[in-house]
Amino acid sequence: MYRPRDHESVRESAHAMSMSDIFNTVSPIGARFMKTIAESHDLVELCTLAPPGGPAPMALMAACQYLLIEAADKGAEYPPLGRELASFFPAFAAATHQTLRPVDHPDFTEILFNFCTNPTNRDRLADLIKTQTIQTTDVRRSSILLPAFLQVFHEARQRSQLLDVIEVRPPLPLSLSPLATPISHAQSSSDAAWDS
Amino acid sequence: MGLLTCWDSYNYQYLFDVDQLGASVASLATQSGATHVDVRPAGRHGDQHDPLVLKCNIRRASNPIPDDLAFHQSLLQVLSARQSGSSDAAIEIPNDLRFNRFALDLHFPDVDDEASERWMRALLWPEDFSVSEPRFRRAVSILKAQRHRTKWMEGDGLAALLDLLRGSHEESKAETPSGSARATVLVHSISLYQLSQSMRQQVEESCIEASRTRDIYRISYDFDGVLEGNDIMTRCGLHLLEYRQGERVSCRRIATADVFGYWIEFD
Repeated sequence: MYRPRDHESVRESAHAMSMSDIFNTVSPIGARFMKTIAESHDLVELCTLAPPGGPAPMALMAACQYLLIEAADKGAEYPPLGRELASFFPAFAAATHQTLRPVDHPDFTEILFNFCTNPTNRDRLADLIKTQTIQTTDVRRSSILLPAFLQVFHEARQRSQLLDVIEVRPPLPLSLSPLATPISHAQSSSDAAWDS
Repeated sequence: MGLLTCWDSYNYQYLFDVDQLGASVASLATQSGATHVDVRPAGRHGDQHDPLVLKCNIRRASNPIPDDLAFHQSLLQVLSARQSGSSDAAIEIPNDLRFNRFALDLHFPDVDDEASERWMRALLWPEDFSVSEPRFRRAVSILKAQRHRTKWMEGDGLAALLDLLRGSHEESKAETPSGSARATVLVHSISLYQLSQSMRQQVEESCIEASRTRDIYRISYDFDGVLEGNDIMTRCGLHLLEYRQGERVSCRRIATADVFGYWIEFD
């Protein structure tokens, strides 16, 4: 369903995101990540492992943050160079007893590159990038849809219509595998009277 | 899935400055001293259910909120009620509309799997993590309670789309009360840009084809230009498209919106 990955398209994607006003406004760390990726053959190579769908460079950023979250969740040792990388992340700098460093710090690029290419980390990052999907998980976006939904409901009511609602690639893709019915084997629910 | 499974379970708060509203609602807002309007599921009052509250700013736009928009009409009603002393007035998301929900993607992460759940948290913005993580966890708990409301379908969504739009799926064939018809709402948010031009065309053609047998509404919240194949990755638009009798009959731009849902400007 999605565009195939290749080295150049991933690099272009990372470069575009690094220059984007949106990225630079919302997440300067993200923008710096993207710039570092776009300038590194090795990091772009890691990103190309991502399955189709979603911007591949985001997978590497998420994978890095994953390793930090995992250490924090488990109270475990941080991965090699993890404490250094965590010093740029507001949520993790204090936890690792690091002084929060600004993202424009001159060491950022080197630390990120060394973190990602460390053999232990690289294998874990590659596994995550290959096996996880890239999607935003910001539930706040639903507030933008609401005026459109109210309009549809208004019109549907005027036309006495019942609605089937289909969402493609939902932003917060939370489900249980048993409920995710392979489409080729889609089965009807025994109880079609879902609530509204 | 956050939006369709849970969106009518959240409480919303649209914040505004009076001078950012059109004249018809600005005076009411001034008189009632309102700085925001609440939106919540019908029948829910106050915070007794510990709802997840999502805040969005209504920003200044070149035009006031259009009079014929249901959101505008609801806003007027709420502000009138507030002026009359009903401080708890809110736009209520109707609960008398029954609808089936389908979610379509190549793959859905397993929220009950520790690694998948952690991965979803890892996708949150680093700068916003301390704030957004608790919101995310709350959304997950709501979703876990309501996931049965949605039919989750993994696979090649494009291949399946036409049949789904037509209502060929079993749930869509449920008995329709006399005097009613069935219509389909297709929703995509910040995802169409990931498709090639030919794939986007296939989505459009599927909507047109499906509309020969039932009305199709399409809500597009995506980067500007994606509907025309001219992506502008710096801002997003909210569009409502309608298809009937084998044609796209309208494409209305409702608003310009922040890509992360922080603000909306009505067009």
